[in-house]
Amino acid sequence: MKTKYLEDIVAWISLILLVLWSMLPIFFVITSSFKHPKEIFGWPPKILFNPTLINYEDLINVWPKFFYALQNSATITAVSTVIILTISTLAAYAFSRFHFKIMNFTAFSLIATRMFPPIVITVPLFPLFSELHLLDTQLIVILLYVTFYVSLSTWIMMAFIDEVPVNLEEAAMIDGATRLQAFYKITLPLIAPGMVSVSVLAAVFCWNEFMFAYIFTATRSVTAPIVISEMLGGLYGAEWGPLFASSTIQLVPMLVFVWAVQKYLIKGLTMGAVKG
Amino acid sequence: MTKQRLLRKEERLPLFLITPVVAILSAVLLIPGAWSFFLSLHEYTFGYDPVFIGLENYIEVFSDPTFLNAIILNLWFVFVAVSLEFLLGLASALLLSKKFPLHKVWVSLIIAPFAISPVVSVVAWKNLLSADFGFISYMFSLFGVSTETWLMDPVTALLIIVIINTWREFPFTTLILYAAITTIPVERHEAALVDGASKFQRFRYVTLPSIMTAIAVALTFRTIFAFRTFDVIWILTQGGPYNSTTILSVYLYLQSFKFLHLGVGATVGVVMLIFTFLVSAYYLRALYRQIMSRGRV
Repeated sequence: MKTKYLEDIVAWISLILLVLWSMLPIFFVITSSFKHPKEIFGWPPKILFNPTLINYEDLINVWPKFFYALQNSATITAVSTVIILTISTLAAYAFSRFHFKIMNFTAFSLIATRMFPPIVITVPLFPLFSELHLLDTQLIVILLYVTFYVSLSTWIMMAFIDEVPVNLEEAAMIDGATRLQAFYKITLPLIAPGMVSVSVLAAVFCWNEFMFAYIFTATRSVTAPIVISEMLGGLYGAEWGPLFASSTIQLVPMLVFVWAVQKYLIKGLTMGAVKG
Repeated sequence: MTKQRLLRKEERLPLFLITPVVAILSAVLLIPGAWSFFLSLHEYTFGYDPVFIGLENYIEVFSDPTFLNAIILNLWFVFVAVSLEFLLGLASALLLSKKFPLHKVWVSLIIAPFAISPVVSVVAWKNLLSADFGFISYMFSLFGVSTETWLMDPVTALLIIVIINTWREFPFTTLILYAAITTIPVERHEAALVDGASKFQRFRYVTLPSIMTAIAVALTFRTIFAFRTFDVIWILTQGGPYNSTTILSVYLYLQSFKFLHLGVGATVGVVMLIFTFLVSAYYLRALYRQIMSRGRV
């Protein structure tokens, strides 16, 4: 009995240490964004303080560009996610229901592209986009995000569609439904959880992505992470306030989103990885 | 026999459905990827036509100490970061499988870094490590240790990047291993208990063998993704101090977009592709067999 008690204590302490490791960096960004600049630089760092919105006011006044970039991020994330979800669901349906050789081989090739290091294609694409006058447009950022996320998304959707028995669709088709109706009425509602997890993973990726946005955008279609990195780069003490404010604005929506749909996220991630 | 039509009727729909995905991947990934191989054999920069120079780019990079150093740093970085992520991921997965009260809350809090962008991760850790007001710096100062020069020192700078990377990426391993652990049938543990197995023996002979596939998958993916790390390094140190954090992706970026040697950049890209292929070959073979056998009864 005594060892069981001791074990529980060790387990709880480990759990708390692990939570501190994960949450402390995030906690300090969020709380510091509500600290008066004088208190941000307080030594020792304070846990308790009078909250103020002064850093957010500074951000609005000094960095209007951040809010413009935030809008770009929102547009790019929304459009990319919708496209990723649509085209990967269609492809996954085809891969799950038709198994002739070309289909299987295409499915394999498509999933294998997930291994491709994204930075490698910046070299051939940069001169090409420059030639086509496509640099610094939302279009190419969306195109790149879709390209690098359809692979995982299709793989996850395949796993979900595989679990829907073909008999269900066939029964509907015998009753006179077309294949499209059978898909729409029978399969789609059953794979909705998969679509949620694909959307979460895709949205987190697009909202947070740095490398492509850094290389292929400049001013017009710049995204929020890039502006935050500019603020971080030109750091002379006083900038920390707006930096914490912008970081908080950038991180909170995704954190809340991920927590809200955590169940689906875990399911999607494990189906996409372990089924291999 | 009459020649079959190019496409049988029942093959039209699926090919039509996969067209968008295939088109976009070919245009943005496969063709540019092949073009990279082509460019690696050429002298090439913006505004000029590529000039064929054979293997000279390869000879150039493999005689550049910065590149050779980048390979060593890269392997060291991958080894240390993936090991730490794995240990932390396995430990947290085992811990979470204990089913604490408020279980979901703990899972949420532990996987939170998964939702944080690379740039905000750097902001968060730069804050903690700031010599003027950082929480970690304060803790160290209690023991008389100063963090002031950490980002300017080649060894500690790379270590900080390893730590930030571990922080951001370990939840992936946690989730995959946790999912695998929770699917182990209870009977197996019970049988081991009846046989009088100790806690460690149950981990060693029941849990571990049951999650080997998940471990292999997690390690493969983490190795490949850690190998190409760019964001955190570029935002924090831009490859410095003295190239001490210039791993291959940073070297590729500097060659291509700072020195405008696109041919050399493409060559580094090919080297990265080859490494990725070697590490993932075993996984890809298993995947190939699994997918090609689909639909066979």
